[in-house]
Amino acid sequence: MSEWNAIIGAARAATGRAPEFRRLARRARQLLGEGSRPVNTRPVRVALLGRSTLDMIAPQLELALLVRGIAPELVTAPYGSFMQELLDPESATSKERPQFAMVVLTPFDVPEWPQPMATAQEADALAERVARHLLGACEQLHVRCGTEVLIDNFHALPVRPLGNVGARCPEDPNNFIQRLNVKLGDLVPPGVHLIDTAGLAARHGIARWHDGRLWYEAKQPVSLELTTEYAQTIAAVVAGALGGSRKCLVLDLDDTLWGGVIGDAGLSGIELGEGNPRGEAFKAFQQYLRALRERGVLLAVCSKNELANARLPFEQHVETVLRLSDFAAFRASWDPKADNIRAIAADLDLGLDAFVFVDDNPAERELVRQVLPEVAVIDLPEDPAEYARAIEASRWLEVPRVTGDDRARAGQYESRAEARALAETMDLSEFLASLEMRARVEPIDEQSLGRATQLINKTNQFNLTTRRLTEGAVGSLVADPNVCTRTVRLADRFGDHGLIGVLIATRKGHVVEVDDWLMSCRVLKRGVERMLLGELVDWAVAHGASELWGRFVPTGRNELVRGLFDDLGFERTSESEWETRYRLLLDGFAQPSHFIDVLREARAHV
Amino acid sequence: MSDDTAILARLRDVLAGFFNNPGLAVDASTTARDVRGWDSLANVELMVEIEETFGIRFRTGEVAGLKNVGELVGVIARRTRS
Repeated sequence: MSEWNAIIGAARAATGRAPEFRRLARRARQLLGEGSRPVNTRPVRVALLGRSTLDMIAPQLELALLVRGIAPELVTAPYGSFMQELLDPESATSKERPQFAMVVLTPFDVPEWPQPMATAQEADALAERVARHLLGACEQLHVRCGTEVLIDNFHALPVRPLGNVGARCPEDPNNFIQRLNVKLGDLVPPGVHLIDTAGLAARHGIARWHDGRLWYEAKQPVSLELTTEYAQTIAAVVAGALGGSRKCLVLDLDDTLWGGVIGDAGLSGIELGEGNPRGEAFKAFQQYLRALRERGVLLAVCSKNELANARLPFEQHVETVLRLSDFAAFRASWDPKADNIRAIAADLDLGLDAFVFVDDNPAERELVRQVLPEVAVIDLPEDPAEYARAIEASRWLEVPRVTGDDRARAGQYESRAEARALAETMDLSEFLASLEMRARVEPIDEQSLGRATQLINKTNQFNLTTRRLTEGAVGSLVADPNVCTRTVRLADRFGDHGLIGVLIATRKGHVVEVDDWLMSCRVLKRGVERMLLGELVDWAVAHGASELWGRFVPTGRNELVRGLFDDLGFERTSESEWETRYRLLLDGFAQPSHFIDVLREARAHV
Repeated sequence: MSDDTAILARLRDVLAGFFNNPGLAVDASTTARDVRGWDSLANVELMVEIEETFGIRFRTGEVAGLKNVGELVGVIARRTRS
């Protein structure tokens, strides 16, 4: 029995190490052949069907199923037509009455291809016929024997006689495969599950997936190297169909959801978003987690921190994607994590086998592995940019379907019931309105000081004066009551763009002069310029000014904004090769219209 | 022929590891039948492991019909040189 524990433990840790996994699979097969089984596994009979060689897949599929707590009895169908096995009530497969059947397909199994010069409509119709033909046969086995049938969709062919133009030719086999895969996805009946081999092969590369030599010599559908990935995907779908998908991610905080230690670094010291490379990687990871939550995965926090510190970034950090309300449980204390995980399990009324533990600290991971072997532990790589992929590669969260209940369970399913039909042609106003832009315009403060200074010093194109300032200098300007500082953060329908603009203007008597105005090129010509001008005018008027002045200082890199003040209605007062000066009288100034919903902080303007 | 001797020694190590038989002894006349576990299924995987170990790539059909370990060494040698 302890050898089974060693094999299964090693197999779990061997993600990404195919030769190791294969070696363990050979040993597991030997043990299974001797009649040995690990304890606490569920016996399940799985039939393997297909016209290609299935013998290489079988042992790896066995091990992948064992890792999921399933004791597999694998039955390989007789070599030959899988259609007969599915359709014939007297077939060997039908007689076995397996609980699951996996139909291994390759593009060479597509029964019919479009004719030369086929039209798109003809190709679509053929794709639908082929899809129904394949899925219908699977459905028959399901109806006859109660078997859950798994079937591949099709990866692209490794060569393409039409070449690049095939992308627009319905007769091109890869073009047809794409249509066919969409139809397969649309038409899957109950009791049948699609294995997204197209996606899997694309992620790894067709050249690595399909081994020509192995195909011609041994009719092997997948290269040896990637058979492990294939087997693990199949096992995850089987386990998911048996209710074995894990339901809750337990997350560490420091260096897992942000860079650095909140207790030491404080809000402005942790790395999260703000144009900082590591910070952006952590922010993207939070976005991935939120997407998981939206499709029904529960998130929980288990951190070694003071509770107040642990909560702080979710409550106050400007770049946080996750909020406290996203977590089904939140434990921060100095107690051992295993104890807290047990408590979380009790709180949520879930078994320990519903949890996946995510922590950047290998020592914590090992401890949880030892003390709570039922909890799955992700071997997080060192680079936060790779965190999401590591969770995905584990396949612990694969589900057979996503239901409305799943989304509701996570508690945050925004009703998108109105179909947002994109108009075929839209004029600019309609387009800008459809972006649903929201902006936060605020004075520079302690939290944004660093990022604002960074933008001031690195923005070249949309920069009117290209005045470079130290953080100290910016800080002094912020503190000066005669200076207006503003940061602009912009979000739209497609996401949060973060801090995209900085404006600094100084009042001297009745004139307010724009000293610094810079913006990210990503959000040009959307009305942000007009909106910001309107904000500045408000401030100027409130401080008794009657004129705005501006200047454009050419640097060779900022031609982009040479005409900005002209466009905004300023008049030129002087021009030289070093500088163009402008003036705008505020008497009679009308607030410009724009499509941006502006949120302002309710605090006294500085 | 010391090239081939070196290849044979390395090949022996691969076979010993693959078939879980540290004391395995092979020579040029050894055939698959002489090694426990060396069936056609194992052969497919074994050839890939040999490719990975020696950093070579067999041509399609090149390892079909090899009679013994000696002939296999010959193919490995050819691939290692080219």
